[in-house]
Amino acid sequence: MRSDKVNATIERILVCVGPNPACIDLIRSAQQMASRLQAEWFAVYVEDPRMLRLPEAERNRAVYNLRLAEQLGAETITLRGRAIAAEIITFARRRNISKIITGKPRRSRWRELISRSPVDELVRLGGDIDVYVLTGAPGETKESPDLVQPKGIHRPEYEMGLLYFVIATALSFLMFPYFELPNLIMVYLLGVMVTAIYCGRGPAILVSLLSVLAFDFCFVPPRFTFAVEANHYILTFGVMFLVALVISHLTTLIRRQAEAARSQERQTAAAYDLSRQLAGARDVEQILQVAVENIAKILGCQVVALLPDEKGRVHVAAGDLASVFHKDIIKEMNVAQWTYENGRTAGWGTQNSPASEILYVPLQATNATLGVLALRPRAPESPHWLLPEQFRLRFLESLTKQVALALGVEHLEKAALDAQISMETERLRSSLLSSITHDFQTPLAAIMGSASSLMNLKGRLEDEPAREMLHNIYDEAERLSRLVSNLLNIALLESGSLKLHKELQPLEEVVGAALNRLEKKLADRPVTTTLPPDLPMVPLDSALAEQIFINLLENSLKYTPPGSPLAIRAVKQDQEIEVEVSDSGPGFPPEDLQRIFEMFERGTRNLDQKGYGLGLSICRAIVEAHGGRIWAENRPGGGATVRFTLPLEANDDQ
Amino acid sequence: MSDSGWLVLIVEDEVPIRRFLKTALEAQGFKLLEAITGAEAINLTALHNPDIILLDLGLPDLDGLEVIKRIREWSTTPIIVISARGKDKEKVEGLDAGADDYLAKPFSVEELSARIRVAIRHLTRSRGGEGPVFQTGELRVDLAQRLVWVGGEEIHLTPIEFKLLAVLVRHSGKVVTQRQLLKEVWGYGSDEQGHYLRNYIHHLRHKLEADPTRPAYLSTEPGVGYRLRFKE
Repeated sequence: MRSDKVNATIERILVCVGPNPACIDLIRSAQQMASRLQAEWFAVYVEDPRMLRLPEAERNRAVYNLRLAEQLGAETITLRGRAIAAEIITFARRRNISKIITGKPRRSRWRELISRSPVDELVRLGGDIDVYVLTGAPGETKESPDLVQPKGIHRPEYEMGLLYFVIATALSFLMFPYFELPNLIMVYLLGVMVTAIYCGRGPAILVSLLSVLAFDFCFVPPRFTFAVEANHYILTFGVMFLVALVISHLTTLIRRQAEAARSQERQTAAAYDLSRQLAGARDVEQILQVAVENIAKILGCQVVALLPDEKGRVHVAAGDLASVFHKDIIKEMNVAQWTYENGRTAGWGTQNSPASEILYVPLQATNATLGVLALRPRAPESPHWLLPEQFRLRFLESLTKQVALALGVEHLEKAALDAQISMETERLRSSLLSSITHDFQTPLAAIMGSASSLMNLKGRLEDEPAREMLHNIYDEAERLSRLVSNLLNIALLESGSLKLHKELQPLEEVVGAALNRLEKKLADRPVTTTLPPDLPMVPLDSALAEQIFINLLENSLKYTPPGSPLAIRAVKQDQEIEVEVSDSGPGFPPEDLQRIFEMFERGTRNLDQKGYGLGLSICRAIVEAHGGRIWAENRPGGGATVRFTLPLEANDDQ
Repeated sequence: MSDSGWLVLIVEDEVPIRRFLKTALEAQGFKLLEAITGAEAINLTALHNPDIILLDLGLPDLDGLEVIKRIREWSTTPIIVISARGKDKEKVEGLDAGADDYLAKPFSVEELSARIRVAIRHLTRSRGGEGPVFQTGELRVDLAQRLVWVGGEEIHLTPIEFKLLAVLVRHSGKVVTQRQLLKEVWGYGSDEQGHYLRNYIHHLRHKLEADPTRPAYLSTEPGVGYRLRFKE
């Protein structure tokens, strides 16, 4: 069910927040009401260009109030505009607000007569939205903020105003003989306008009054008295004074708006400048340096950037530590740490550790806090330092967001670079390994070839010892060559650069290839192979899987007496195939069962033992690369068994 | 057949290997040509038209594959590639590019002679012609009548099984890559279909072999292909 009007089913509450201590009560009431009604609630602050005149403490309070609301669970919004009530109502309609809570205005009677208060406007414009007007506790009214009265009289501005007035009067005297009286009024109004533009409202009002008096005294007949001949001049004075007032009012207003626009523009330019410089920054250090310098310049404060170390403790990474942390460094660092860990603003002017003189802002990237900026006002009354209107904090947030983004990009780039480096290293490593193998295999191939060709020269080499020597040379060269290729394989497997080329195949094919390869050595051995005819095909890298069987069979050949039988069996179990290769020799030493698959048996004493070492470790590496397990057992009747499993499901992550 | 003066071209840049190949082959009565680079190999092949080429794939100038392709543009001379063990991809590429067989380094003189003998047998057969009946050990295949016997017993094969066996018989003694088999039997050569092939080989083995796990005829060269073993 959707309604374009106010949504009746879900209450949405809006509380109007101002720079007023009584607002705290207002916010708490709103929160209570919201929790009672299980409603969403919003805290809205309307920023009027006139607010720029408020003293800093007041503006602070507005932000403080908003922050409080935020902490109590409200969504906080800052609106801008002169028509406070209209802004609020527009917002309320857009967000389907059902109740508005506002404080009772404290205004002087006469102002009430001149203009409606925003609260009246709210009630009038609100229509079907309920408007609750609450009064603050009486004790608190004494703290009521005054719209700022100029502190004393700004002499230079009044003097300037008087000067314009004098000029206008002088001009009028010059014109008097030649112009009608109303023209002189124009000259005076011009004076008022110039005064309003350059000197502000007070001097303009003064000049307005003086202008009327001077006009009366100097030019209206009878001249040089305040008396007037014709009564209609009274009306002229009245209108003249009113027009002067209106002009001065409008002009000052325009001036303020221009100022606000200029300050907005300055911020945009500063933000743009920051982002431009960040884009040019090469590394983390530069990014932080740029951030610290720019933010310090923009906000007129001292800034340091803190980054976490490996243990997650923040430390100063850019900026001058001493300029920000004056005292209680340990306590302040804890606040910084808190900010980093919670990703929330803390310190001065916030709800978290408000006693601190330093403001801590987290550098929040998409999914992590990357660091913290700590800001200390150089002079709290500096016009640039966080005049803590909401928008200024938001502005700071947008600045820190830029810095965080730049840092985030830098982190990503670094990760990409690391990946590239490790890829390069890997490439280098495998090309190194393969050239080493080539360099080893070529001489071995020559040795073996030469030995075997000598052995083949039948009839010319009948000498038995020489033949034996040749066999020796050939066999040992062959063993070396096998070791080299095993070493290469294990290095490739361990480094993960050997990619398995898995294909579905019958296990018998792999077993057959291995038995074939070892045909000569197995000549005197009865080998029983028991593979059930319905054994499913297994996803295997055939060349590597063949190596498992070759290594296991060679191992058995080495440790069992000639002629003793060997057996290969396989059974299907659930989602895997279990294979066993067994012999009937002495079996493994029981204490070694656990570690015969380790590449280097650390702590073992018999270095001369012709280790199962490499062969079995390669078996393990290959089996594990296929996603299986391998273990050794001793058969009850004597003899060693190695079992391993091969999953039937090809898991592609291997 | 060894002293019949066949001309063998050895293409190998490693001196020790070349030296032993030369000694071993000369002892068996072959005439030899030696080349160190790929370019030289192509030149010598064009000039002398050798009967057999032994080609090491790792050459200083050209890629061995390139040499095979260039020679195959105009010559059908049997090429036996020599490559390091473990470089299966290189071997398969060489075979698919037109090489006839391979030797994995290190190899013994027996292996070398066996490969050369097979190559020569195919040469003489294609020159002199041979009957349609093939025999090795107990296995007898009549290609014309499409009949197969093991011992005295006739074996019934499905058409595809026979076609597969026939391809292996035509290349008997030589390795045939998976892709070649797929292409010659099914007409296309995608590695994706490899498991069909393995399945048919599996069936064929169970029909022809006494012990399918220790095949006497249909041997697997893991990672490369299959070979119908040939015993004279």
